[in-house]
Amino acid sequence: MMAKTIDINYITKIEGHAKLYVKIDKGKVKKVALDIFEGSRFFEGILKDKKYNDLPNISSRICGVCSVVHTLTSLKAIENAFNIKASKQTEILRELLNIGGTIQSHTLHLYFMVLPDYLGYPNALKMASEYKEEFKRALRLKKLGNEIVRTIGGRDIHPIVAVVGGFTRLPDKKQLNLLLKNLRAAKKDSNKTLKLFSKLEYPKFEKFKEYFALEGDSYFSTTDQIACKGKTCIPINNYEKHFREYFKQGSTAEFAVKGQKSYMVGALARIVNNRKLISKENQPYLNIIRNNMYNPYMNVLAQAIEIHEGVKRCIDVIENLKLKEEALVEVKPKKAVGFGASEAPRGILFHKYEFDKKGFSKFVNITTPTTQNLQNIEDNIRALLSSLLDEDKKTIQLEIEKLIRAYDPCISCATHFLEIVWD
Amino acid sequence: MGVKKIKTGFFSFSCCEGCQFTVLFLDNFMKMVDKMDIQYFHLLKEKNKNTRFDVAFVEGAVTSKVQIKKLKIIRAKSKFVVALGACACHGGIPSMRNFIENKKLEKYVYNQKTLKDAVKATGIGEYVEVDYYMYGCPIIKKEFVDFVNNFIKGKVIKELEGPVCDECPRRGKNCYLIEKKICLGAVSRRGCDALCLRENVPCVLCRGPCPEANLSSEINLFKSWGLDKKDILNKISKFKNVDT
Repeated sequence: MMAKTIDINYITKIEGHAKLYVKIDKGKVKKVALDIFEGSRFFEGILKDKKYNDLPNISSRICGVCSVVHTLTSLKAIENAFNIKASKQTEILRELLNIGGTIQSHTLHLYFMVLPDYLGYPNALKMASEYKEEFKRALRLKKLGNEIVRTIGGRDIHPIVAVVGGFTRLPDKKQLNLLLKNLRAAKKDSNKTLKLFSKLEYPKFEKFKEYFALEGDSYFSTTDQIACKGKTCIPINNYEKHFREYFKQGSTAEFAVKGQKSYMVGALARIVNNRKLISKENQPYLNIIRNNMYNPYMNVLAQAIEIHEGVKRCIDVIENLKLKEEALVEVKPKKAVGFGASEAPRGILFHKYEFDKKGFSKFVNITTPTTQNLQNIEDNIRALLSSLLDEDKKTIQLEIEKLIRAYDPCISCATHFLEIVWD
Repeated sequence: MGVKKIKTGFFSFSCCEGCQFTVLFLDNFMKMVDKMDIQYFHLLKEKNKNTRFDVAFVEGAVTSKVQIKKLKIIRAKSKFVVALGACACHGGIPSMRNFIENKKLEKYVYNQKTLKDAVKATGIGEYVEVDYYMYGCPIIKKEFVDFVNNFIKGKVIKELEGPVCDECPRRGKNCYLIEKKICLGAVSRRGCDALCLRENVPCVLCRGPCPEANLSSEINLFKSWGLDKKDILNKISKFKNVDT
């Protein structure tokens, strides 16, 4: 058999800039290299030596599509360092904010990046003319996600009002009522989304992997414990001992492994670990996932479940919301270390800060979901390739891209240097 | 019928891609798309044709030699170039890395290739002519819509003059400066309708200093309150390197 090399110079319909190099020779996969060519932004360097109150809005700019969760995780890490306990109300509003960010991100991914692959269109804009209803639904859900984030956080991306110790303003009552009305109407859309994505023909491909997710109080409100196989295994302030980041030649992003093994985080990992927290009406869909547990394409369906579950949760929360004005919790900076972890749309996100006594950051480590998934993506591409060796290049490329997109990688997020030695 | 569609490309250098997302997040996104013949948008499209553009929207800071080359190609192929957002306009958040000493950067030994290719993080205007600067982190939706609506009629909208204070609802008795809080509205380019200030958050200068800004007197004011000098300079240089 002829040697085949595939060079995808610029993987489209993912967030950020990545390329893939594949070499097949004599019926064997010789090389698979996922390269990230996002310009280096040295985020952990940028975040160093900054006053604590600058960290949330600088780290928000790591990524435009997950700016909400970077802000929230940064706030958690700062509050953890300075022993600040956010009020119950603040926690609830933050949960809503995170669900809004998740709906934004998942909708964009499912309809604009994934669906064209399965319906045979080169892109969503081309798909729009024949799948008018689906496309309009996507736009409505996207608008809803924006509305949640804007109502609670002040802007569609890079939220303004979520700060250390609380919110600088509460959501406007009128806007909140309008949002509730729109959420109720959106249930139909999220339900149809779920039906649509449960009926897609996903490639049959299974590869064992470990799934990690934060444990939840409710599905969208997480604790500081990491779960695997549905059981607690690691408290977050210990994550660095278990997960190792390493730097890959040729790429500007970090890759993370546990021990020497790759693992997966994200919607699928959350569903697998926290399925008991999913509402009854969605349980039938969980069966599809249970029967295809190690199929990474199931991440797509898991995201659709989360949109529906998220809309429902927002309705429940807002219906019972009794807002009262609260002063921001006072901050007393001190020399301390703080950890924050959240479930970002793409999986567990960690922020770790070390502060001096004036509240300036002396060390910053951020581990993003995509950093954690990259090695698993590469391993799965390798495994998938061996079943595709006889196919033509075009088919192989499409199938690999589908696999990469299933993980919903966010390359901007993965692109920052791990700071090892600073003096 | 109607107005001719404009050939458009969306390009992205080092940034969070939040300005592209702001375009995607437009409530009337499809209406906008109908006005444009989008030839390049890697976030959305598989076949990204490299053709000539009536207008190229470029987001992100330039941080590597490879990007300089690409940027020059984009410029050569485009009749009109818009710098989209703080990073493309004046370096944005990525430009803070310019304050990290080179010696320290060398400690990132893992990838010498990246280091060799790296250049100071700047706005795109450092290397090519820019026809319109759309400021902000992220850009303001309304400005983008206004820009496109006028551009298809052959017009380019005018930049607003003056500082954020001119549109601030707190101007006067509620001014943050009276409370001795670092607010940069007095030196920041207006055009955002003082969005953050309406949300009880002081201005962070994401749109960059307005031409008439007197930064050194601003810095002296904050110093006179006994604030930490490092903190003041960090806050002023968050979205654009400022010489002090």
